[in-house]
Amino acid sequence: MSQQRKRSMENPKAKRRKLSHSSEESLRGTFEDGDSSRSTSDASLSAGQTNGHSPSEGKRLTCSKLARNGHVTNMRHSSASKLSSQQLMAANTAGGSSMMTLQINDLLGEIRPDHDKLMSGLEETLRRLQRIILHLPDVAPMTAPEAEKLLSKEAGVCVPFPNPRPGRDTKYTLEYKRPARVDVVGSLPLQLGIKSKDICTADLAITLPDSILQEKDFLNHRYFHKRAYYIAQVAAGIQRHAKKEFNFSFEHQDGITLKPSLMIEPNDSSPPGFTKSKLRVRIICAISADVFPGNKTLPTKCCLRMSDSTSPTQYYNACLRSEATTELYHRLLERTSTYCEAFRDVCCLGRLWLRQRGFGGSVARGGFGPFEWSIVCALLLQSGGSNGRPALSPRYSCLQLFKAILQFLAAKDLTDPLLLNGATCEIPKSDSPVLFDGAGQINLLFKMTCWSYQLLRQEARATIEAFSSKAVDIFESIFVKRLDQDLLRYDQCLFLEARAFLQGHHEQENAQEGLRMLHGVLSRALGNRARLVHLRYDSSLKWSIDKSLKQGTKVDKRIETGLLLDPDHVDRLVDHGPSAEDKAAAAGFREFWGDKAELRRFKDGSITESLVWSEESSVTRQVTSYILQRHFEIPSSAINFLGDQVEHVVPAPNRPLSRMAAFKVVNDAFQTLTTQLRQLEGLPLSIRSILPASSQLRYASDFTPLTSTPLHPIDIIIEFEGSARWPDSLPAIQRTKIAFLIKLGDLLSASDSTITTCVGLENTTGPASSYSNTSFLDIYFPSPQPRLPQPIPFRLRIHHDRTLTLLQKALSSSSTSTPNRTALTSTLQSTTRHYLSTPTHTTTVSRLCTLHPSLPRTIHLLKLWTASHHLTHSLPEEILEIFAARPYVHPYPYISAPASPQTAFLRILSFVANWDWTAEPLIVDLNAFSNPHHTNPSEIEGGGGLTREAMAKAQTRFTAWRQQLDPALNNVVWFVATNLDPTGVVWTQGARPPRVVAARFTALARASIELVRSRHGGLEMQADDWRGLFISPLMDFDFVIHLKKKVVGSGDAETAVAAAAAAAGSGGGGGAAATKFKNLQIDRYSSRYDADDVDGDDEVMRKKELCLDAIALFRQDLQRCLGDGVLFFYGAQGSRLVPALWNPKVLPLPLPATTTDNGKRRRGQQWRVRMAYSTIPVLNAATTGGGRGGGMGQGPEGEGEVEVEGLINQRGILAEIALLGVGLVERIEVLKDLVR
Amino acid sequence: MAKIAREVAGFVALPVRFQCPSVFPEAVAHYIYLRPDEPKLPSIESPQSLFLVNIPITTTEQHLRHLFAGQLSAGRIKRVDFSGDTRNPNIPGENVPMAKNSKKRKRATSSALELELETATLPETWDRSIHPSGSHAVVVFVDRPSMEASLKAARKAARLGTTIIWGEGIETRVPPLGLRRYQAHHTMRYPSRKELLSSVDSYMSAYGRMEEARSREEAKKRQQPDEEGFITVTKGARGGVVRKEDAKELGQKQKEKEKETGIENFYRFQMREMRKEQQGELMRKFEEDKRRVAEMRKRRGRIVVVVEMVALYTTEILDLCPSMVKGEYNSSVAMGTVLPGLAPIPIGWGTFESDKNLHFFLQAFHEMVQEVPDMDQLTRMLAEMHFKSAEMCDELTKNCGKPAGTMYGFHVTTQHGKLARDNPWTTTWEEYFVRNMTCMLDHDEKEGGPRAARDGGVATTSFREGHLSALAPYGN
Repeated sequence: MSQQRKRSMENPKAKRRKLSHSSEESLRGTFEDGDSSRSTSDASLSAGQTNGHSPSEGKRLTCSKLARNGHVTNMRHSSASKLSSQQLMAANTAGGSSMMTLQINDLLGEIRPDHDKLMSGLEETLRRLQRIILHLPDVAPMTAPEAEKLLSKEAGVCVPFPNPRPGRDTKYTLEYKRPARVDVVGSLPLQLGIKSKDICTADLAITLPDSILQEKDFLNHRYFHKRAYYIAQVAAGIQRHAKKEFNFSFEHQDGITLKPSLMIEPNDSSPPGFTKSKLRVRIICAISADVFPGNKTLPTKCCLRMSDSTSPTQYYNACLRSEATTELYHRLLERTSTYCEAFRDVCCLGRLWLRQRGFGGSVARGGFGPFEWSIVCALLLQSGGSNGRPALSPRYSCLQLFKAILQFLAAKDLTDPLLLNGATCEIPKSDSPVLFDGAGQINLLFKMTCWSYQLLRQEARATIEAFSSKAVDIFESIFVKRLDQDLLRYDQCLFLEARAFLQGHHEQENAQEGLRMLHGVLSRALGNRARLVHLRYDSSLKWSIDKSLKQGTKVDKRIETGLLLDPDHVDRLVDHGPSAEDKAAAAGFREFWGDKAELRRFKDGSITESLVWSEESSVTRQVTSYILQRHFEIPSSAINFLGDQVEHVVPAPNRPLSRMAAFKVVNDAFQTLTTQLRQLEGLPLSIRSILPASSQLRYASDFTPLTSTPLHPIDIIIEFEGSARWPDSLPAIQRTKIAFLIKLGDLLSASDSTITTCVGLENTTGPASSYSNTSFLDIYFPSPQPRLPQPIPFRLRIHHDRTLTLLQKALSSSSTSTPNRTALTSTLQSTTRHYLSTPTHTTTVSRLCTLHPSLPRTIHLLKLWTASHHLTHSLPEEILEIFAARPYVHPYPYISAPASPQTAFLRILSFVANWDWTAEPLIVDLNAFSNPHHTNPSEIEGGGGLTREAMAKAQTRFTAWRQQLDPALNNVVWFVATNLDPTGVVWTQGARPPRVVAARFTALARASIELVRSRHGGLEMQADDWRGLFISPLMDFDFVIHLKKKVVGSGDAETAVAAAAAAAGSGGGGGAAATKFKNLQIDRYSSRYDADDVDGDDEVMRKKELCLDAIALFRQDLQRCLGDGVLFFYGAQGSRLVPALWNPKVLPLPLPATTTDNGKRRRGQQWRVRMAYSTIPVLNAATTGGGRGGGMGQGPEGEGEVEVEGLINQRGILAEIALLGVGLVERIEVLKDLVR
Repeated sequence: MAKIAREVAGFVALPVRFQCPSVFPEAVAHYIYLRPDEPKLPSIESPQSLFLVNIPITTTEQHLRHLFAGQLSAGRIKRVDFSGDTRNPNIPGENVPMAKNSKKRKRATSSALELELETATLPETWDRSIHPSGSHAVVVFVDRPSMEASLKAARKAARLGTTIIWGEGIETRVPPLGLRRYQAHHTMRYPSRKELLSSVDSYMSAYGRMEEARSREEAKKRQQPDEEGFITVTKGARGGVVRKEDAKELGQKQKEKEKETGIENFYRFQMREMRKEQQGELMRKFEEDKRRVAEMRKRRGRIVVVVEMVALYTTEILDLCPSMVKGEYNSSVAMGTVLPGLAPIPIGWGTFESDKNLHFFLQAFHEMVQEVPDMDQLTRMLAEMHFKSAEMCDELTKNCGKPAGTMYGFHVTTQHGKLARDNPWTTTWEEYFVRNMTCMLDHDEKEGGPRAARDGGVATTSFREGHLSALAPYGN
């Protein structure tokens, strides 16, 4: 492999590089060795020119690019000839899988920009700038105020002095002399950049001549003042020569306020190459390495000696050192890229990985950018291992290097300072990371804050874990997916108005200090509720060169805080502080919490300082707003909480029982019933198991159990011990089951008089009726709560394991006719689904729900969302639950499982939006234990239910479905394999959902995510926007059946839609408003149907009546009778709308405009005897004139011209729907024109 | 509005009107297509039946009775068979009474009992069934004239456009639709305990009888020799009924057991084979991964568009161009014939019409690699090409005016860049070789100026004479 790599690595031409671009952040520069600055720059430019290939070379270049595009090409050729097993092994093991290696190679080819093209655009401009700068006249030394005044007067340039500005009494003078060198620098000369949509920056580094600097200039901002003046002079000089060609502005280099840089951007009159290039030029300063001795600026030294304080000025010192190390590090990178083949690749990968996670070199973006990445890599290639040996080997492959760097970041705790390259100084431990390079005498991570370091480590750790995990799509997650959307990334976000916060810390310089304090307070206040408190304050400014910084900027900014919460602790209502006896700690606690701290005595007798939070709103919100008010006097009006808005939009319906309480009631009743059933005596066979098989028993139903109407029977399955006395024929088994159920019912009601039972029938009609289960036992369990008037209905079915075998036998027997076979297949599927898969699914989801407290709400949100778009009916609810569980069991690419439903919900939508189900299976391991904070990786490996082999098998099955079994996606649209269902189709087989519904689901998710993204990554989502996610326009449908309010009952979806619709101001289409009063609701039970033919005294009858879901029956009829021609949609229980679409296959096709004089006429299908929908026999318009014969219709085929179309009778079908739904349907609204 | 056909493919299109004023105020026409029944297997009743297509989904027997007898005032109906209705299987008339008779006999056959089982159904749960849209039904009239009168009446109604309102006048005689139907269903699906028990009992006793009869019959079969004197072996002889699948499972288990105890990894060849297998597996996985990556890339739509590459020979060597492209083309063709796959497939050559100085030569596109191919392989292939071309000499040069017999040369002038290689036919390869070399040396001289006698001139002459003989021994 390595040999192939070498050849494909680079075109030798490409190695000669001078001009480059840096795609986002600049790195330090390219310093060519040379005698004088002029010759250097000229040489560099001429080299740049040769790099612009002559056309004849274009072809070769393409070839080399193709080859570089991946080793795919190489592999193909070598494997064709002879690929030894060692090589294969290497390919397979090097990165865990060859797949990953291949993908990365592919990716690298994609992201590498065309350096030559980039350069050719810039070349002219850079050369011009260089020439101008090198020819600027020297300016005599003068004092700071004089210099500033003169420059402002003569050139109109305001010197961007950093604070504190030089005072009037400064002794030293400022002057300008020709720079020692001017070099084009940045990551592009090293070809480390990647393609990017953002505007890229090319750096021009000006090395200040030593002669204008004095020995003591490293002290007290003196160097930075000189630097500011110098850059202002350069700005003035360039402006003098080329004012019209460019736009000028100042910007802080990497967000470091000490280091202003000059930005040069193209405008319309710039050289065309520059204008087109999407690049800009940044002019930065550098000094030679030995101007200031390195030991004076060690992190332990104090270089700001204005006041009496002698505390070390780490940040200042590092800023200074970074000016002097430019050349050193450039050389290091260059050298590394020559001796380590994969270095350039790993820098590209690193850059991509960082960018997708929002990291960058500027202070605001975390201070760890591509430059830091490549330097860390380069340093580790030469030291950092044990005994000072290199930690990495240059022979590592790109993927190995990448992983090794991540491993270094994740595992090595750099808050314990790491000294490299023979550095000997003692740096005290702090909460900021220190990676001190002895060669450059600089802490490379000086721009990082403690939170950005924490985040970086967690991201690295998560990626490392993902590499070792078994999930299939980690490549996408690691490199392709963009993760810097705060709402998806953090569990909760809050914005502080920066103005309110920074009042006390008004000056820019102190912003960092202020943020540090804020972080400290928030972390302490949240304690173990939060696993990470991340702050971001983008203070980067850009201002016009003729204005001072203060004049130039008046922007309202905010501090964005992201919290990763720990679900186990986040809702704790009482915090225990130190014991009252520990006086010092208690005082500290009081000091910190103020009035909120209370001394309390607890059950265990301890008396501690404590905090008590209210249950009313989210605890984190209370904590943060209280503590911010207390310590920073930030009013809560200046804080914007994000993370639970969707909860407010979709309120929990006002019911006598909360959702979770209702689930608890149901689960308890199930437990009681199980015990009672097991205790029954006199059953012919003993009970083997009683299994839950309902979404109500796994916290997942879209409605609230017991409180919505009609009542839904809770499915449970009973299995008896095996016996040879069961008959060996399916119909006979069904009869035996009935006998069993009658017996069971008798025994149960005899043992407990409060329980009523009755046996019901199902599936008694239809072609395969004798094969399906035909009976169930309804058990009405008395309500345990007086507040609930209605009983808890259970529906018990018997599972006999022989049934499936018999079904398979019947299916495989040759005597079964085709229609029977279809019916049998679907019976077999539904039997498997109901009796085998549902119980295991129920148990698993229920376990997950207890594990992740926010999962039930997430499921609810997702189901409500689905319902509000009328898709519930067509999507298996189990699949939605698997979707909902996915971010919890496979949190990657995010750091941890979501702790808030909203975050989870958005992650699900984002997943669905990106899931290309035509080409990818979804494989979820519901047993994957995902919380990295609770387990170690080895448990993850052992506890997962899906092995790699199982995944591979699932993949193979998927391929089989797509390529052979069902390429048209008529049967299996979604392939969702789990550890419970390796076949991947248990829930989705039989077009559940049909393709069109799946496509709509995806499209809606995509639209939703797009909306969130368009609101600044969701950070500016208003309540209306959130509501908008839950509003489905009816325009997309052909007609809508409006159901009568009286019969639809109530569910949660109804309230969600109503709330959404009411808020949006669209009165139509909404469901019934939630009933506010309990008594009214009870009324609704009794008055729901005309009670004249129901015997009101009959208790059982009344209970049964509660479970009558007429709408469901109606929809079944519609589906069965009209399903071929019409696609019906339906939301969750309580929805009053049944939108529908005509199947496009049955609609006549529009005629091409040229063949008909009447544009409206459309061509239908020729009339046939068997058309699966109601038709109108229409004489074809084209033939009515000519073929008007008496015998027409006697043989249309024979007469040729006469043709009768079977046009779909849309009105007739609507009328039939109306007839079928008498008493249920209020009206049918036609939204799209019917075919005439 | 398009014209409505009154008849289609032998069917009368009879319009009926739906009315449901409360929900869907429009009165809408629905078309029932009818014609005399002509089943593939005619029964006694076929001549007196009508075949109806596209019946309304709400159709009941009552509706059709009313339609024909009342609204069309024509024929009386005996029975209606709906398609897809399992409850009324379209059994030929004779069979029904026989089944009934056999029930009375004491020793019924098992097949007859099975038939009885089919009719022993569970209580109905719907009072009225709904048909899928567009389904059909066979209406059996009391006699043939009734049928004919009905058909005639329908045809007349279709012609006159008589308004027939569906189900008008029998609203009370059929069970209601909609909510009430669902309510009724909800009640009916919970039959009384007694009803349910009796239905189950009757079925189970019939089932018991059937089982008994069947085993009796089988026992009988076991004892009776057939006409050739053989006794049929049937299942379930002694030791109870053995289930086929159980036996299979046992067999499987046995096999696995055997495998476990077998000797593996013992012989060297086994190890070798295993390694081979592993390697093959790795290879396969690798290929699979490659395929998937390629697929992924394709899906992302970032594949490099690969069609054909156009190579243009132009500029300073203008006059040589046609010869170059022609030579290249012909030699590629020849190479392709001799050893397919060695060289890219040539597609064509020619001159641009718009610019006579511009010539082209097209080859199928190949992705190139920046590496030296496997020398061993390459040389072997080159050798093979030359050997083969000698073998195929006649076939290759059929139409290019080559003298018969094995000759060395080529019918077209080929080019090495500017260097033209005239390829006259020669009889020995030495001659050809020398000619070519000479040609090359000449070219060299011409371009680079005359050589110093020391290294160039002498060599050329000596080559021209001396080497020819020196080469000869190796020639054949």
